[in-house]
Amino acid sequence: MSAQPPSDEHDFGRLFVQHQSRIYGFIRSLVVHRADAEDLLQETASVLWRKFDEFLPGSNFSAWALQVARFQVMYFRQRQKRDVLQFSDKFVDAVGADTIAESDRLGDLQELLELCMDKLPPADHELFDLRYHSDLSAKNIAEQLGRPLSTVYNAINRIRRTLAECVEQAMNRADRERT
Amino acid sequence: MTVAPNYHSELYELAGAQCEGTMVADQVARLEELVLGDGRLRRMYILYMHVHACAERRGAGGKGRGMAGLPAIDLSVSTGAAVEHPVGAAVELPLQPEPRTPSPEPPFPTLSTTNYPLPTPFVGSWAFSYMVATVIMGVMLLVFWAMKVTHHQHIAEAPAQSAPSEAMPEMVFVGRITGMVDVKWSDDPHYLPPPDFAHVPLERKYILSSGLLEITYDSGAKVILEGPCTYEVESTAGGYLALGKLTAKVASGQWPVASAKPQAANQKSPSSFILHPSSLFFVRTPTAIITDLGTEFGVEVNKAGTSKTHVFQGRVEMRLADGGRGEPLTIQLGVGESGQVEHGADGRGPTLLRGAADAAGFVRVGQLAKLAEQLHPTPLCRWQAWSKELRKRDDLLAYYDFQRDESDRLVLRNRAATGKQFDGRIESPAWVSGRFPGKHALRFGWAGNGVRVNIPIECKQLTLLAWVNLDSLPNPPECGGLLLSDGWNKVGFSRANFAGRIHWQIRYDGTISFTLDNRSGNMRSRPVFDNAETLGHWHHLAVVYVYGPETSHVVFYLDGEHVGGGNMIAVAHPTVVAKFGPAMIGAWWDSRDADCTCASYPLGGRIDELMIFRSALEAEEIHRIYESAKP
Repeated sequence: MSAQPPSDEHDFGRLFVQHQSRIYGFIRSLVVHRADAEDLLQETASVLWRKFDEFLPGSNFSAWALQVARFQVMYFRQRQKRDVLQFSDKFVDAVGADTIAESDRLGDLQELLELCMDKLPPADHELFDLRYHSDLSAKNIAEQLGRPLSTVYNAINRIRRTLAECVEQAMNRADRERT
Repeated sequence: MTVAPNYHSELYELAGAQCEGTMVADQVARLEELVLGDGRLRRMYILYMHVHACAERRGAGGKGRGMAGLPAIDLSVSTGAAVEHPVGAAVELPLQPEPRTPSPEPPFPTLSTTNYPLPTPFVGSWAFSYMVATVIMGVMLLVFWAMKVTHHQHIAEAPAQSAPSEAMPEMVFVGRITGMVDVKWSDDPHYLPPPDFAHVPLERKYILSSGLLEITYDSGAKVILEGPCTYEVESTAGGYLALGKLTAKVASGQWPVASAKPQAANQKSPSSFILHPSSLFFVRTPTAIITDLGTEFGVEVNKAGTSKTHVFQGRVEMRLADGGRGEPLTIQLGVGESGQVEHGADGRGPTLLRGAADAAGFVRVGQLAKLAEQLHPTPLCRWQAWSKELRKRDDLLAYYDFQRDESDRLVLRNRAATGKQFDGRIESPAWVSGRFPGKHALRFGWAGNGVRVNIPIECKQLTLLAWVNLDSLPNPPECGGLLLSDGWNKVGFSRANFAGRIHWQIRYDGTISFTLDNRSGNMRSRPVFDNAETLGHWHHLAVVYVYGPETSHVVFYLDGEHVGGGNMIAVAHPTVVAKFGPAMIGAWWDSRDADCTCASYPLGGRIDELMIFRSALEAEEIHRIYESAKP
């Protein structure tokens, strides 16, 4: 029995939610500012929705979405003024291509991140929560805890690095188990 | 381009700046150099940014964002910037959708006479039978097709295995911080203290330089840490006190909790714990494990690791480190007893010394709030203490603190020594909040609402003070009553003599007025409520009256500062002393009118304290009264 053509917002929503962290991560790695990344995600979603009838269910939604996102990023860059801080075309091409190549691997990132966060010491976990769950800036956190900004800043960076390395190790383990 | 060998740290630092939004042009250039120069670095960067993006997405869910953390995606909106690339443009889609096949013809012919001209006779012929059979077959196929679609839709709705969970990874919390008094955390810049009144997770370390911190475990056990102190939460029912002092209280009959099997007492730091079916709260130290048997106790540990336990209530079991030889020594301590354990010298086991408990040396559970109050009294507490002293004054004629009497909410109590005779009766009461938390006030502002008092007193010297918060000024030519004797300038239907009766009020022009009835004198301050900024805030008003046979003298104050006054000219002679009699607070009763049914001249605002002194207070004292009780 051949797959039914996707026809409604529900299917699109389900697919987009499933892959949005990858799409957002992709965009975020290609632009300097968070606000730009959020705008680009909106634009990408708009285009994907409008072209959704061209997407064949069962094919690689993530790869398709990332390509669309990549072109949205490039178009965005053309619209930017010269003095706005942004990455070069070469950077976007290289990072974009590598991300698309890794997109399947990055699909498990959410789950692996949660496992890695379980391993964080309590103090690190609390700090991470303040930064991301409460959405406080490093400066706000430093004021709240009465600690130097540099200490908080370095601690958050260290935690992100720890999580990234943990996730990478987990991905490598998964790769070995698959082969 | 040459990439330095130790580039990981630099890459993470630059990526961190990007995540925190602090990147500058040089950093962008350097990040590009690193990322473009090395594929491994590029992949590290991609993973790091994806971790950050994932965390952003998970963390901010619910704050006006859709799709769990990201900006709400409005599929109906075209931003105008989204570009659709035309078909045939160089878009590399790894898996192009296959060319669509035309929809198959339906498996049965349509029943239309236009398509199938009917031979005559048609019905009953083999063609008709064939057509009917085909229709039936087609309907059956349609039914099966619909069922298959439903089945696929059901699968499509089921969440994918890798669908992200919205729940945060689970930390094990064992309680919360429920009290803090002057807490100063460790000076170590690498120690990150918890947020105030946070939940307490397992393995969390609390390092205080000074102050008091209370932790309430979910089991109900309470621990007060007294800095300097290092305490680590080891389980749902206990912790490790490496240094310092704590008091623990576990009421008897507490429901049992799974607790960690305590580590060996001589282990300096806790390792991963094992859940153990023991139900008792414990405190581990470098030299002992103190297990609660339904009690309150204190523990202190010095830098040498010597532990001393003091029992305030009930009993505890104290187990000593055995130094690896034989069963550890276990003793029980009762009320008023202490046990001190020191590391053994020269390889010997620890030594135990029994003594008396030092209860006074510990902050007991239940004392924290009171201590906090003493060290940092709230405005209400400070006011209460001040108010209590004020009542002792001999010259205090009446003192209304405007604190609601729960036994009778229609009464405004007179707290001066003159007592209940000057209690007020509230008409249409509206109890509201006063000038700080816990302080009550009465709101005035509509006809019939006010407080009736009767103070049949004459005074040659008088000071009236009140805390007032105005919402609005009265309409011209009216006034808002602060304290007004009944009636005005007439003998009144009761034929009483109103001469000298006090009218203290706020006029429509923002001035404060003090008038003695029957043309006995009239005085106003300069305009003090003359702009919107004065409304909606608490102000302290005062007026001082001093009788003189020829002229009397009046002085006005606002917030402890002089705002007008002078000699009060009496139209009528002889001058009269000030008097009260029947009066109202917050309004005026026109007793001239026998048909008057309700009070008028309402004050448009709140009063939360009013005092009447039968003396002329000095400016300095009025200022002091203002300062003592200002919000």
